[in-house]
Order: sequence, then C-alpha cells, then structure tokens
Amino acid sequence: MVEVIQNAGIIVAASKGLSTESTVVSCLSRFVEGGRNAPCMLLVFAGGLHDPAVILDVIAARYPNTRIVGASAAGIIGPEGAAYSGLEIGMVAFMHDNLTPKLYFANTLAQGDLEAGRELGRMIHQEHAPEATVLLLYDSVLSVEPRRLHVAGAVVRGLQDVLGIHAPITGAGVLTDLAITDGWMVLDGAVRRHVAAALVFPPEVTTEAVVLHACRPISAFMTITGIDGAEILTLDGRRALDVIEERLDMPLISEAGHPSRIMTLGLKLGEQWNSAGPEDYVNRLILTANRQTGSITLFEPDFFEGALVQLMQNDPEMMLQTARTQVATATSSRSDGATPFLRLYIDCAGRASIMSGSEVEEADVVRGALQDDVPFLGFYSGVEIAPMQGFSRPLDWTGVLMTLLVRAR
Amino acid sequence: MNTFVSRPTFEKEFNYYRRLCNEMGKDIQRIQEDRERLMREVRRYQVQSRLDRDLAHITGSVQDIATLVARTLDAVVEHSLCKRALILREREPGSAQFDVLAAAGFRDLSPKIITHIDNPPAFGHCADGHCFPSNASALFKALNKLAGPGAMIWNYDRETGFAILITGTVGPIDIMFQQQGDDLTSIALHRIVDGLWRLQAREVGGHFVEPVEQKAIEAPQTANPNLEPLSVDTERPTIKEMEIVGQIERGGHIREVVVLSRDESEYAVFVLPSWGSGFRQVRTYRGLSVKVYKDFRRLGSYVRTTCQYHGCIIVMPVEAARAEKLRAAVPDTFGDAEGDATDSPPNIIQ
Repeated sequence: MVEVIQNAGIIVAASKGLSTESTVVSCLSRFVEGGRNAPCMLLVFAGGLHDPAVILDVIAARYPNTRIVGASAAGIIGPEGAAYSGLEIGMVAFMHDNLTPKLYFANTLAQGDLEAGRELGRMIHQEHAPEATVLLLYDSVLSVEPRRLHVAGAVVRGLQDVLGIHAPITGAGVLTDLAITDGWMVLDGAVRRHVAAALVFPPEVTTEAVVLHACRPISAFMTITGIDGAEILTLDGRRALDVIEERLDMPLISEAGHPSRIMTLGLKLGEQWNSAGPEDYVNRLILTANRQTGSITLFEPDFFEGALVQLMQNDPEMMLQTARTQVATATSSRSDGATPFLRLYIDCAGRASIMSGSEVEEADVVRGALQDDVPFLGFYSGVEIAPMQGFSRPLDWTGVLMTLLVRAR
Repeated sequence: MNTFVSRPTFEKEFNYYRRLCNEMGKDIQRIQEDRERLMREVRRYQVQSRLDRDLAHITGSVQDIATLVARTLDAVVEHSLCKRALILREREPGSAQFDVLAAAGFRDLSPKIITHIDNPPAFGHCADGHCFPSNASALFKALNKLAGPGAMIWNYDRETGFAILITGTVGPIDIMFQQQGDDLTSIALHRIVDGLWRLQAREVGGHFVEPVEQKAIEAPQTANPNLEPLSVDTERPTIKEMEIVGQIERGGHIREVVVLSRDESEYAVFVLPSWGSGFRQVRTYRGLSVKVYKDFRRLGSYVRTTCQYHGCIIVMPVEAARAEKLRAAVPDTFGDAEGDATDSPPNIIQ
C-alpha cells in the first residue's frame, strides 16, 4: 500500500508492511517518478515494529546525499487513513532547498531536559531570528521500568529561555507504540535515543496550529496540597490516589501498578470561576500511581502547589465534532496571500479509537475535513506541543494540525 | 433580589453541589466506560471478521508455505496490537524442536532458529505472572526467553506442528490485546492449517506430500495401487453419516477414503466401508444432501474423527479417469463437474 500526495516542492508517501526494507522502498519509489532529483530532506515517521537502522540504511543507499530525519510513531495518519499496527511508515520529501528546514539536535536529554532545550535554543539562536518557525521532535521515553518520560515542558522552556516566550514552537514527543514502550530518532546518520531535534524553516515560512480539544471536567475542583515535580502527593490534604479513586468506579491502577484506564487532570486557564470550554484547560494524563505512597504521577511536571485541578474525561462525540468543524474552517480558502505547502497532524495516541472508544478514527475525520489538497501527513504522539493562549506549551489528549505556509510577499 | 445566606448554610450548599458534581462525574464515567466496552466488543468482532477474511484470501491464493506464513504473520500483526509475533513449526510431531518460520517486532531481540518447547498445550496465555493452563509455566518461561517479556498468547496445532505466539505490552491497550488475542491467534492458526491442506491438495504429479503425522498407518494404503478405476457400491452409492457412526459403533471400520476435488476448492468424500462392497459417497448426517467441503482441514478432521480413519486419504481431481465410476454413481456431486477426463494420479495425504 502506497499513497502519495504532492505539490511542487513537497511529496508525502505512506506505506505499510512487515518488511522494513520493502516498506521503505515502496515509499521511496514515489519520489523518483518523473525523473525527479533526490529529495533535499526526508522526514520519516515509522511504527515501532520497524528497525530504524534498516530504515536509515535503505534510504542512505538510495539517496546518499539526502538529509534524513526519522522518528518513531505510535501510528501513521496517511493520505488514505490512520493505522497504528506498528507496521506503518510515512514520509515527507522536501524536494527543493527553498522550503527545506535546517536541522539542529541536542542528544543530552538524558542529562537534563531543560538544559537540552537551552542547548538547542542556543544553536537555533545563532542562525535564526526568534520568530523562526520551529518543528520540535523529541524522544519521549526516559525509562520503561520505572515508567519515566522526558519532560516536554522543560525542553520547551529551555528553548523559550533562549528564543523568547513567544517563539512559535510546534511539535511532539515521539513514541514507538500506544503503550509508551520506547521512542527513537534518526538524526545525522545514526539511530539516537534521548534526543531532541528542531527543524527550523526558512524566514519566508510561517506556521499556523489548530489545537483540537475534547476533554471536559467531571469533578469538582481539588487543590494540589503536595507535589514534587510530576508526582502529586496529596490533593485536598489527603493521599492523591485515594482522592482520585473516590471519584472513580474502579481502581486507577492494576495490581501490577499500571493504569487501568486513561485519566487526566485539568488545570483551568483564565478566570477561575468563569464558564469555560475544553480549550480553556491544560490537561495532564495520569501516567502511573503508587499504591504504597498514594501518589499519582502526571505526564508533565508543570502543575504546582495550590493549583485547583479537576478530573477530566475525553468526550468522543465532541472529539469528532471539533475535528470536523475546526479543521474545515482552518483549511478553507484564505485571503491573506499566504500559500500553505504542508500540513502535519500531531495526534495524541489517546485519541485513537481503540483508546478513546470513538466509533470512527478521529484522525480520519480530520483528514476528511481538509478542504484543500495541500500535502498532509499525520502521526500519533505522546505529547503535542503548540502555541495556546499566547505561547507554546506541551498538551495532552489533543490533536494539533500544523500548517506550514509561505508568507505573502 | 439578593437573599442573605448564612455561612453554615452556604457551606452546606457548597458541599452539596460539590458532591453532586462528583456524583455526576461518576455517572459520566460509567456511561463512557459502558460505551468504550461496547465499542471494544464491536471492534473485536470487526477485527476478527476482517482477519478471517484477509486470511481466507491469503490461504486461497498463496503458492507456498513460506508466503503463507509470512502473509499470515503480517495480517496478525496488523490486527492484534501485539508487540512481537512468531510463527513456529515443530520439526517432528512430539520432538519439541520448533523452527521459527516468521517473526515480527524483534528489532532488539534476535529470535532463535530453534527452541525446545516441551509438551506444549494447544492453547495457553500468560499475563501478570498468571498462566493458563496452570501447568504451563515452563512453556511460558521458555517462550519468555524466546520472545521477551510481556503478556503472551500461544496457539498450537499438534497434528501439523504449527504454532503461533504473540506478545503484548504493558499499558492501557494490554486489556484489548488480551481480549482479542485469543481469538485472533486461533483464527490465524486455523487458517494456516487450512492453507497447508490446500497447498498439499494442490500438489499434482502423484508424489507423496510431506507427512504431517507419523502415526502407524492402517494397511493397506490403497486397494488399487495400479490405475484401475475405483469400484463403486452400485446398489448403495451413497452413505449417510448416521450409518457410518452406527456401523463403527457395532465394530465396522472404514477401509479407504478417496476425495474428489473440483478446482482445488471443493472436495467430496468417498469411503470404502468394511461392511460394503465398493466406495460410497458420504452424505450429511440425515442424508439430505451431498457432503462437499471447501475447507480441507475440516474434511481431514471429519475423516479422522467421525470416520475414525487414520490411513491415507487419496485426493484426485474429479476429472481423473480413475474417478469415472465415482462420478457416474453420484452425478449430482458437483453439478457441472463433468469435463475432459485426464488420467491424473492421486495425491495421498497421510
């Protein structure tokens, strides 16, 4: 299976198969049709059952001078549909220099997410203006046992420390599968882990991001009374796990300590007591919990003592409805003269139908709602990063439709 | 109009609404949980039928076992949310030595070519330290070495030696993996065996195909080793399943079994019973219709169990010259099956 969409400078291809080599080759075969030159850069997303070293070898053998940026993906949303078997591969080929981003990466995430973000920021700052469009991709998984993640908030904050709070950063933490088992990237001719990469686009390129939310509060406010990084120790002065489980009909974690269902805490932005919609919340998935200490651990460590939080529930109907309406609106004809040339859809793995319980794949609804034929590729991620209420921040359980455009002259 | 509310009353009211809010939240979760459960069930059946359909197409079209196995594994991985998957085959029945025929997801772990799996059960699974069957812990220990950690689901067909193993990951999708994995591996294994029988049935040229069972074979292998036409019990050309079952209970037995194949997709069974004088075509239990199989594995199972026949099964095209009398005795078997007679020697499947 190979699907392709293209415009003058960008070609998108996706394929699926057990053999990594033949799946890569079937994608690559589309880039040479019509006697085209080799791509300047290939942005590759691949399911966790594929071997990244093989991907790299096959592409490098075919295109020795093409820069390869690869990342694992829990699933691919190709031109023909979304799938997350681990066998999918999707590629974006940048065929001309004028739209090709420059690559920077910091492979020091294991030493500290914040400092790695700053290191990346310094590299970008040397060659680009602070408002340059940045696509940030990083390996999400720090360790599996115990389950720990690299902190998107720290990486973003590190970048913002150097580039400024308003730097337009969009991106994702990458995973190999829906179970958050692993993550990898292919950068500078090698397979790498614990690495963050920034694709910085030329000055004439700008970006728009539509953030799709679908979480609604299902509890009264609870006050965080004890927190250590991403680990909430107490809520309302009591063990956090006990307080959460009082509001559930089932244990939050299994006997083995793994979450039995996806639950999220939401922090309301703006005026505390005003009415609010799903877009007014920053949500953090509960990654795990500790039955002995009674603590819960979130995906990100950006909640704080004294914060009022609520349990949040994904609403599948709302998820599909917002995908239809917001994507259709965002991709309708425009009058500002800017020309979109690529759309990337960064979709939280939790929004896949197998996780969210929706009747259809929300990603397929997004794909179907696109109003133009701009090349499109999506992937399932662990964390999404996009500007929201003034500055870029990590998001959970959202879909981010990133559109790259050439500014009007 | 403002109404003064005392602080104690306000606090009671405040707490009332907090409780109400939390209770309503629980209701929403319960509804959502029910919905998710329902969707998972729907999805489970959809995935099962899709896999079965895909595999039916594969088994009906592949030309060799290697392709059959590779494409089956591909389909299983696509539908099962597994982290790793293996298809193995026992070298000899009961030998406990398995060859890995196809593997997926072993990026960081090399599957061994052969492993020793003693006395494997037909089905088993293991998750969170609990095994089924309970005496299969040694099996899963061995499989764990082969396939790494995680929930495991095992299916094995003793007769052909084929086995399939899938492993899951720890996390929210683990429940779904375990719920649907049992059925998916079972479907896949049945389809592999079906494909194997089909491939063997397709082999032409009169050679003996690979034996799948080394049990002692009832002699004689065939009453007609030469190419003489097979004789038919002209007075009673058909036999009901009910008669076979009843006669076997009274001490009779089936001496030979011949299968006529049309287009390698339909199979009619003829038996030579010890209480008769020629071959008779098997009809359904009550004799209402001819028994024509499309799934050769089911045919094999019928012959081995219902007919209690463990000898060679002779398969030949319906057009074969040796089948002339069989065709003539029951012309309605395949409807328009009459064609140019060819003198194709039979395949023999043990």
